[in-house]
Amino acid sequence: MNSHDITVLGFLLILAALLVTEAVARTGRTSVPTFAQVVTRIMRNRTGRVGMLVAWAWIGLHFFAK
Amino acid sequence: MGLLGGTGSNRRSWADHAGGGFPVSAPAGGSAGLTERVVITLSGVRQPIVAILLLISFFTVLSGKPVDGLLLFTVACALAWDAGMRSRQAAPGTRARAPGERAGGGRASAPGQDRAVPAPEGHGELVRVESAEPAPRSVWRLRTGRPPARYLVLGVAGAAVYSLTFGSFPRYTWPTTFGVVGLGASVVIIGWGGPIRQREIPGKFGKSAALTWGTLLVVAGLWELGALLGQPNIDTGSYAHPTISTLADPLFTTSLGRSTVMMAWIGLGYFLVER
Repeated sequence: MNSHDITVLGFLLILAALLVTEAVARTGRTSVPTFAQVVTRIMRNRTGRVGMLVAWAWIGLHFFAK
Repeated sequence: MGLLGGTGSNRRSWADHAGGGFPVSAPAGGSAGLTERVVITLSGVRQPIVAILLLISFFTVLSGKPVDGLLLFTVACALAWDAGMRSRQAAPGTRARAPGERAGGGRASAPGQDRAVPAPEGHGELVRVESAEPAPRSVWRLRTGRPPARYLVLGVAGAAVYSLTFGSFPRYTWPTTFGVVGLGASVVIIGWGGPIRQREIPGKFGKSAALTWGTLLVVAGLWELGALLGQPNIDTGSYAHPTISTLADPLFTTSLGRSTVMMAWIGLGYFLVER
């Protein structure tokens, strides 16, 4: 296993952890909020709202723009 | 319209807009005023989203995009100022109810009071509600639910046409740049005006909740940073230490791949602007 494989495996494990956390949150049996609830909470004021949208716009700029 | 101005016919003074409509005493003029503005801005940097934007702007500059980094830095400073001004105004007894926030029972608290409320059914922890921040204002007419189905269909069709059009151009060209910048700026301006949908705002999360998502975010960021630092230099991808961008590069080699990614990006933007 080389460093490429380890790096990719790390990303896959993180992605799996995110999906499992979301699935657990959606069962409603734990105190863990869903991703949508977390985002709604962050965006409850203008700082969080605009900050999240700017971060989203930056993703587009990063992958597409000059 | 500047970043710190109002939108459309609701244009307000800089101080009023920063306070979400609450009257704000303007800082004194001269060097004392500048110092106070700097202090206010620095106090707003404590907001996690501001700190994250500053980090992103730093690494964006390092990766060879100084203009993007400067834009991000400017927006982060504007948000820090806004947050700093808001925290100055927040005081017990002055909080108005947010759109979608219930008065009395449920998750909302009485103005100026923090109280523990029972967690929703199925959640084991009490949720303590904070009441220190002013309610979010909106210049838009708030919807109470999803838009009608015909609008959704029109929106999806429009997004598909947009994605197919601008995704047909190669990356890092002017047409694609205009497409992304135009849509991104429009959405940020809409968001600056406030929420577009009336939603119940969740109360403050318990420690386990914050730790779960916070830990995942930090671990993801550190893993990405580790891959970035493992590259031969900051703006050259590496097979041995691929970042998310490097791993995603094959998606962008075809027009269909670019359009699909852009469609997903637009979908994420809709999800966020609906919050």
